[in-house]
Amino acid sequence: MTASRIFVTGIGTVGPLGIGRDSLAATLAKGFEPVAAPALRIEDFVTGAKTYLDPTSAMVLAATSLALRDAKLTPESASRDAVGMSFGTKFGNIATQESYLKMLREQGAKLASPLLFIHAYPNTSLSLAAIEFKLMGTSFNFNSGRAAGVEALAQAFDELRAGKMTVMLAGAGDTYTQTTRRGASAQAFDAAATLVLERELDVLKRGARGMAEVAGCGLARTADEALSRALAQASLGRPQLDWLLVDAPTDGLAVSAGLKAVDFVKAVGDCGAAGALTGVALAALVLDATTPPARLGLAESPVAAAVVSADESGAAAVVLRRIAS
Amino acid sequence: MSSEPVVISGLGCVSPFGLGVDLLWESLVAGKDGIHPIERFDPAEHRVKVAGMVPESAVAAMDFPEDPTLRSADLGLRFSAWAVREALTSAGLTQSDLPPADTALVMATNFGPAEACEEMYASAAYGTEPDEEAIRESLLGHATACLGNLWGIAGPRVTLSLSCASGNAALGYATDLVRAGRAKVAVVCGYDVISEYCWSGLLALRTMTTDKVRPFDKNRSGTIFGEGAGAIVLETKSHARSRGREARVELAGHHTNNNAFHLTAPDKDGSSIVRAMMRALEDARVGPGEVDHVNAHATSTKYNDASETAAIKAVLGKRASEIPVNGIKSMIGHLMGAASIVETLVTARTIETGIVPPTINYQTPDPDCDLHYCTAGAEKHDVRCAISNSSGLGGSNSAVVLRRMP
Repeated sequence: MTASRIFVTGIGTVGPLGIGRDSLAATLAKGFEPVAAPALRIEDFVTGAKTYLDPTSAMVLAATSLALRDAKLTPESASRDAVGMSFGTKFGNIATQESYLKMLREQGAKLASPLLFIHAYPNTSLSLAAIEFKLMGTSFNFNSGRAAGVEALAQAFDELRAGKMTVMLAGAGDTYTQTTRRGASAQAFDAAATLVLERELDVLKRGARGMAEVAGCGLARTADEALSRALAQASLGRPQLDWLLVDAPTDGLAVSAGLKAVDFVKAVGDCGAAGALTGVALAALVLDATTPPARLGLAESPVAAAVVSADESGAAAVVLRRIAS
Repeated sequence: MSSEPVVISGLGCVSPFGLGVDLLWESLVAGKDGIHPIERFDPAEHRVKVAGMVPESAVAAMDFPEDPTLRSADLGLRFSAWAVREALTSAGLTQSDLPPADTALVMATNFGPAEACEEMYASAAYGTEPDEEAIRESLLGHATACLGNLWGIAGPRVTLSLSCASGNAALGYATDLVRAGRAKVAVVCGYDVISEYCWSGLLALRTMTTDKVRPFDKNRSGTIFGEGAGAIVLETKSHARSRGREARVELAGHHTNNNAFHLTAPDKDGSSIVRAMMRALEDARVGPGEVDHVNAHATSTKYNDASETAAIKAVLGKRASEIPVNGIKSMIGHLMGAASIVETLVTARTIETGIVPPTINYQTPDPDCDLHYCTAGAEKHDVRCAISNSSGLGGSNSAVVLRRMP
């Protein structure tokens, strides 16, 4: 185990809170009031024309491109074999899966589209990101449910702590179709988020800066237990948490008792597995700011924030800490 | 990160031969062919009409005393529930023995609850709006929630999907959960079911053959997919010992990566497979000279078998031609999300017994595939350390290193 701390060095988000870090900061300043976001132009984020992209894949590629730019990471920054990605999605590429099934039903198996089929795999967005950004290191795709994004972040965190990778990207993305929108816990939004994580030593070596430290992660059946585990790994108690973002419609109330908490689903909406990772990006921004946005009602210079995500499949939590200057 | 060994203490399986690890093992060692005609749906419209199907008699024989309602559950859930129970039983673990908070459940699948998913979309197409429960049952995480609740697992409950490398990826991930102290026991299960959705798509990708599955043969022309579930119980050596179990095989190392090359095509020089194997060996702190056996991915496609052979040679050097390499997909087909975990549990049995199951249907040597593939039948070898390789669509590769416990 290396002693190095793990820092968030880049964020990229696409969704109801706009595209990129500036939109995220603006919506935070307005107390989660969504900003008017421009339409996503995928050609701004990828090289070359794509024959086909599922909407989730398109958002994930955009979010990942934004995160790498934000971290000022170029392909030369690290050996590509040492750059990996963990990705989480609740539904996978559901829009393409539905299109494929519709075609299969209406036109029969002989006309089944190989293009749609391969783009319907749950790990296709991860694979496309690996191809686009030459991520040849560790590669994991989580499909547990809402918590899949934070599970991906926890895996990336463990991978860096074990010294197996130099850079890990933690991403999440989900799209709601007419069918799955019926199962949403609130107004549903398509969204994707990617964070760049690096070891402190590597951040210093390349002259970059961290926005926040990932201090602990927890995985469990319930949101409450996941948060307890993340806090234990961070050596923090609940009273030391300045801010909590909860993306857990089923037991979110219990976990947030007594804490300065934001119910992400109520404040923003249901973004599938991308909701909590967007929340981690928000928390990193808050901890990176000299003064948190007044509308959030937080103390001056908050030190620790946590994000919890859960549904009936499982729960995951992450604790972030301000990096002392 | 703990350096304590993570050991394999239980195995479970539903395969094209039927129910149970012993039946699978005996059939593989005997070189039997587990490919059957498709009966579950009408294959008339499809070019390939046989698959590594779990026999309907085995499906009917699956019982679930711990929860009889499972008898009507999605088939993938039934396969995995049966395999998990066998693995826990063989590990000597009942629900009351499992430390709830210190137990993880890691599930792996390509297509998840295929039947529930197809039913939901079929009903939606005919104007019936699926309710929340139908949507929940169609998600990949549903089986994890059900089995987690069934066994009272309160630790990490995670679902992975990395196409046909899913099972080994799940084993590697679970190993790291245990090493990182996030669990003391990890129940890992990979499963998948043949459905019209996946069958039509996999045929459209032109990966399947109308011939036999002939890994490493010059005339190999593709794979044949199959279904089933494999389950492995992992735990720390000390936890196993504390309950009086002396495990014989360690999951010593692993690595899962992406070739960052193409969604469907492997990198032809096998460099990403080389990296997966090399990093897995590094993780295990094992040198290439210590490897005694490779259970290969061996899909019987033109590109995979040649690039995997090149990769094995690149990793093992001159010793590559001396060690037994086998491809059990020749007998059971390609079990998708269950493939690599079933192959790894077979590798564990190989280490325990010293018997390497054969690669069947091999007739014509290929100069690009020139290793020792055990084509004349099962062989006896003193296997102390082995690699189980897997790859999948989307460019995933996952290698696992198993080692006999001293």
